[in-house]
Amino acid sequence: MSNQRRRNEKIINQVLTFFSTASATGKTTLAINFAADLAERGYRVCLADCDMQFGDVANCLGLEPETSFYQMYEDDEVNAANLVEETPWGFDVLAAPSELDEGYLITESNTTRAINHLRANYDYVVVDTCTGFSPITMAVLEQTDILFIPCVVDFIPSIKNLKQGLDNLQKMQFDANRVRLILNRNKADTQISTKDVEGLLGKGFQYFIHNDYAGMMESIKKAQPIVLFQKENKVADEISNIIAVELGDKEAEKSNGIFSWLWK
Amino acid sequence: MAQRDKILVWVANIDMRIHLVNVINRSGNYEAIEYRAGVEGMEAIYTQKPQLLLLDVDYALPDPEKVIQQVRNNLSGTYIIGLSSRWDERKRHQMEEMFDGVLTMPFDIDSFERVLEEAKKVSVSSTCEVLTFFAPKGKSGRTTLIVNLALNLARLTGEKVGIIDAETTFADMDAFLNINPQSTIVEALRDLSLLAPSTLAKYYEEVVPNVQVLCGAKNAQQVNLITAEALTDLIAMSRRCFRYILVDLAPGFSPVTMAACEAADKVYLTTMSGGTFELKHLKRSLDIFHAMDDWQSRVECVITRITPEVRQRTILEDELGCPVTLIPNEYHLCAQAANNGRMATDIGPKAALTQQIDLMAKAIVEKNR
Repeated sequence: MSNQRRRNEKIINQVLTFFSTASATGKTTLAINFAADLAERGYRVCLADCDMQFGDVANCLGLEPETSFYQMYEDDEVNAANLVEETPWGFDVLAAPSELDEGYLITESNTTRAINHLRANYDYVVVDTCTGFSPITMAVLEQTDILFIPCVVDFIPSIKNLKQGLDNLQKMQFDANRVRLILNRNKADTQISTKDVEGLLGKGFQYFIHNDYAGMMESIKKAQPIVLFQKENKVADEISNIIAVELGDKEAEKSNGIFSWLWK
Repeated sequence: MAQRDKILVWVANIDMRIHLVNVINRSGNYEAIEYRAGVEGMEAIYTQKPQLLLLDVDYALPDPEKVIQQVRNNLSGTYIIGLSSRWDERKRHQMEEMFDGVLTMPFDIDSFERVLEEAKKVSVSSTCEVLTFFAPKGKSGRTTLIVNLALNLARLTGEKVGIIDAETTFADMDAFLNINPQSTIVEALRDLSLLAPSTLAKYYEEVVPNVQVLCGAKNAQQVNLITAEALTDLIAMSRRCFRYILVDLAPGFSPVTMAACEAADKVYLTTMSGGTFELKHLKRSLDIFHAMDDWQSRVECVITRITPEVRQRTILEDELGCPVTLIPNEYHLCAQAANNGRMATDIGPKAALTQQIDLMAKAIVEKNR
């Protein structure tokens, strides 16, 4: 499906959020590649960087946007859809502020307003967040349709934090059916087995992405999404497959016609 | 306590008051002064700035908690010993929780000095150094660094070292150390206004001799109790319990992390070297700390997962404008330690990571000599 094909269709308005209970689990990389893959499939996509203080979306893509979430704080009237930066890869970016003090000032209501604006203008709003349940992230979770949680199996304390995070989501009454656990860097050289982790979590991983540190570093160095520029790469293939599975469900529902309202 | 320190004797009964002042002054070691005002006039006590206050608990009735809270708020550096001529067990236990010590009136100089000695044991040092570890993002190895550094500082000095886990996202010091603490920072902050340093120390859990940890909140619902003001007060009182206090913080700038940095004698900006934008974020963070007048003497950087080469360190120090410590990557050692509740320095005493942390501890001790 090309960009042109989607232009005349009704906007899907979904918010896909990448969240984690530990840093360096691949949130930003996955969010970028999800946005790139969805855009290549012809969907209207905006990638929103809600790691307001230390967001890396613009860094990873080599962008120097003139506008950011900060204008949502400065101006109550501004529409977030007018603050986005177009990228050469078919999706737009609403960047985190470049200045730390600006990032510090952005509130939950600024964030909620921005996500609502973007939702109204894009098929998919892909959101990258900072680690843990910050007030901004809580506001994003309120707006989230599908929550992707990339995890890395490295230390037992990290796994315990993940378990605690999942328990917190349950307490917040976040629908477990909308949560997708992704085991990133699968089969990396760690001391804990996936089976043990799943036992501890009481929940299995839905998706697996294998460990390709060198490939991902090259992608970041070249400021290019791996799904577009290294299509033969196994990680790129696995990311595309995740999206195909998620969209497959929706396409099937859509084709039934009667259920099409479900994924509006 | 130095010789001839000022002691205020605040006792209701005039005969008892004069007697106790005489008992203390006859020793020649202290300058005991009668204090006559009632609770209504207690503001006047603050101008005296005594090193020790002997407080007749009958003065504090009917609301001893309120009176003690007021005195502590205004005399944070003063030991307070509770006095009564008729302790019952329940009352005594209650008062022991609030005071640095309790005594029955009348007392002799030996009893007085014994209780004072106990209070001083808790307040091991008047020159406590608070070391706060700030990180722009996670996975900087803060927790590993803090627990191993604390152990080394305790071994080098033979003095008490405290760790405060003020992480508000996912506090995991208990998981790292494989302990199940009876109380955490949440209970300590809840009770703080009623505690003396001696009783606050009981909220810390001993990890090894001379290293105690105040673990973080056990769930996200409790973190709202960890406010900037409360954490500042906790650090201030904890200063009377330890020679060194190491504070672990959630990543990023928040009112809580900034308050902890302001309350610290030394701030360590920590980041891993992951080959992407970590140094850029470290520099951006450092720019914020430039607002401190004394940032050059107060702020240092720690970069983890990097080979500790002198040339590399010099380049980074020139670039950042402050001292830099480099900690090498030892994933398997750190994982083995974290997964088994042990210290990396114990598992691999000769590992490069252990040696770098050892050097860091020695540098800290040396600077404070």
